[in-house]
Amino acid sequence: MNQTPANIIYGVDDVPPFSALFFLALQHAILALVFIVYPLMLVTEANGTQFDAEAIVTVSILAMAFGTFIQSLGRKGIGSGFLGVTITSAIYLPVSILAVHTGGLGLAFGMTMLGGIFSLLFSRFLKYLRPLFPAEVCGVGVMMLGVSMVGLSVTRVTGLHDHNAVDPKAIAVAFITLALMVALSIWPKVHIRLYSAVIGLVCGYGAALWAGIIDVKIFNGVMESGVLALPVISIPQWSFQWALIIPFGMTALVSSLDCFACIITCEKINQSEWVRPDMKPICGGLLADGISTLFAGAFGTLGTCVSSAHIALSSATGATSRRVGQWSALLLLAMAFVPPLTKLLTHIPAPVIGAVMLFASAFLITSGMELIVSRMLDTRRIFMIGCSIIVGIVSIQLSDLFKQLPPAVYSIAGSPFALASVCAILLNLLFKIGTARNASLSVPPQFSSVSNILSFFEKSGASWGARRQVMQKAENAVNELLETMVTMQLVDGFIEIQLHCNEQYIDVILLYSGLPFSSSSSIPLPEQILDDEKQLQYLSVALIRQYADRVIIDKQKEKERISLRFEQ
Amino acid sequence: MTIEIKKESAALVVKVAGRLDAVTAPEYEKKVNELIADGEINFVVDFEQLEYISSAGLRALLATAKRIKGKSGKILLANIKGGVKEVFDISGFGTIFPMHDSVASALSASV
Repeated sequence: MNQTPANIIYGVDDVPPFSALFFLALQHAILALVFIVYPLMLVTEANGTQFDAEAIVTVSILAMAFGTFIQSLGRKGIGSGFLGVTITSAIYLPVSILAVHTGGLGLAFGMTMLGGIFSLLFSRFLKYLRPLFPAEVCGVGVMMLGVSMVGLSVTRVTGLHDHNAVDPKAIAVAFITLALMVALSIWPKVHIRLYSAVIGLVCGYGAALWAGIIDVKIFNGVMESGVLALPVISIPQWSFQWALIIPFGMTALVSSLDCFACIITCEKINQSEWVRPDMKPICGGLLADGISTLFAGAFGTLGTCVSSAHIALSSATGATSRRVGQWSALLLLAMAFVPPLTKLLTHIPAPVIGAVMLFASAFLITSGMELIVSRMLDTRRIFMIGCSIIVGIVSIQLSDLFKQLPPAVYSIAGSPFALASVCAILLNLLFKIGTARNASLSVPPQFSSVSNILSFFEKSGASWGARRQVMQKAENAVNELLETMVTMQLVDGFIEIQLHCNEQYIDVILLYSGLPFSSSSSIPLPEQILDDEKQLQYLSVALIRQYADRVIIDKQKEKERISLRFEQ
Repeated sequence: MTIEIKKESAALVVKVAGRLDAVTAPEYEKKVNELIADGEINFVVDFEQLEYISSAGLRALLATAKRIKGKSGKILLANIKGGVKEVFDISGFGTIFPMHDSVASALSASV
């Protein structure tokens, strides 16, 4: 955890002065409160009472405090040790709503506990499961999570959720909220963009009051429990259903992958010379994520995950100290002892919640698309992705018809996310049949061989679903090698290029007879290159070492061998 | 690789797109040498759409730059980014070629 980048003022191990620590922690705690809208949505879907709403807000604040504390502490293998604020997660919302419609809040919370247990298991075995869940399969899941939230959001934005008719006032309030959140995320050049969701929510709340969507009378009872009081928690009546195991297992997996990506981002922003993921904090972070979701389900709220919005905030403020995370947890804990705050949060108007949901679903949909297109796609993968998305959309379009299915089938078919994900996993496994993970090509030592090599790499990369950027690096490195071999006349006969790809890396091996390739690491001056062509070889080596994560130059029997490894 | 030429009052803008490597570098050198032979001595090379440059591409760039310098001319580079910028940084070519964020800024610097 050394090599702190220049833009980081308080690194992960630093202890900021108290005043800075307090205000940095307060910013994170306030931002976390925005995510209370997701569990509130669950309560409205269950037609819950005001008591249910207050209970879920209190438990959500406590779950965020607990999750943030263990995540930031990073002791005894639990927690990443980074400033990772934990929030109630939109990822768990679609399946939790499915559970609420099937068996009420108790079922949603019971299954969330099971989701937590799945996450605990994934924290131990995720690296072995990676071949089953390549980026494009996860991309389909993430995208369908976003798509499945759109319907729920639109009914709230249009007022259909409360009145069964379109309400222009609701649309206006939702528009103000969404427009502010979007505008503040795009145009300002200062840190205000990090609070776009908070500002949008507060202004939307104000607009709803002004428009009369919520009655001022509801605030009469805000102070009735006093300013400070012990939090009221009622342990829910958990229940479980076999039929929901697959949807919740898939959700836990997506949540774990999201947490995985968040902790890698934390590693990157804290280390200027980051090369590859450090699995120790990642495993600890995933474990903390599982424990926190287990806690959330046990006490009655939505599953949790590490917040990418908070990671962006820590990066932008230059404060990534884990102490900030621990203090945010303490402040969140303190907020659970302030009943007026809990009551105010329970009254967030439906159009405002709808607008926040639309904002989140836009991010989920594009994140999913980004994951999908990060990989090279051949016909098999295009078909796998397209068909999976289609079945997800069919699940939305024919939801009434699907409700007539047996419960065990409906638990998957009724969730666009679960149906699309299961379809993607199965088609991915099916299409692996007949796909070799090795390929080779022989080319003459000529500059014109480059086009053959590039099309060979493109074709192989697409059939393996290789990461596009990584395959481009491999192409560039081999182009550089070939140029030098031809210019320096190193090769007698043909050059054999072998490619091997798996989920972790792409290996490229070049075999040829002739003179050895230079392994010098010195970079020539530009003028030297012009005067002496031999110097070009040294520049090539330097560039190849930059492209590849590992370069080995040795011999295999009588042949010269250059082995390049590219981490995926 | 494609090369587009645009005459501006301050310099000739040479827009290079695609890959500049051992296969395409001779074409680039030939084109620029022809322009030098026609009397052009001030160039702005726009790399906005350049996807890749190899060491052979760098060498071609250097060779043409030397010829332009010999005629008391100027060569400025614009819009170098991503992987191409990394190559310039590693090779040290970034220190010998004046680089600009845009063609407009390169043109105003070449006056």
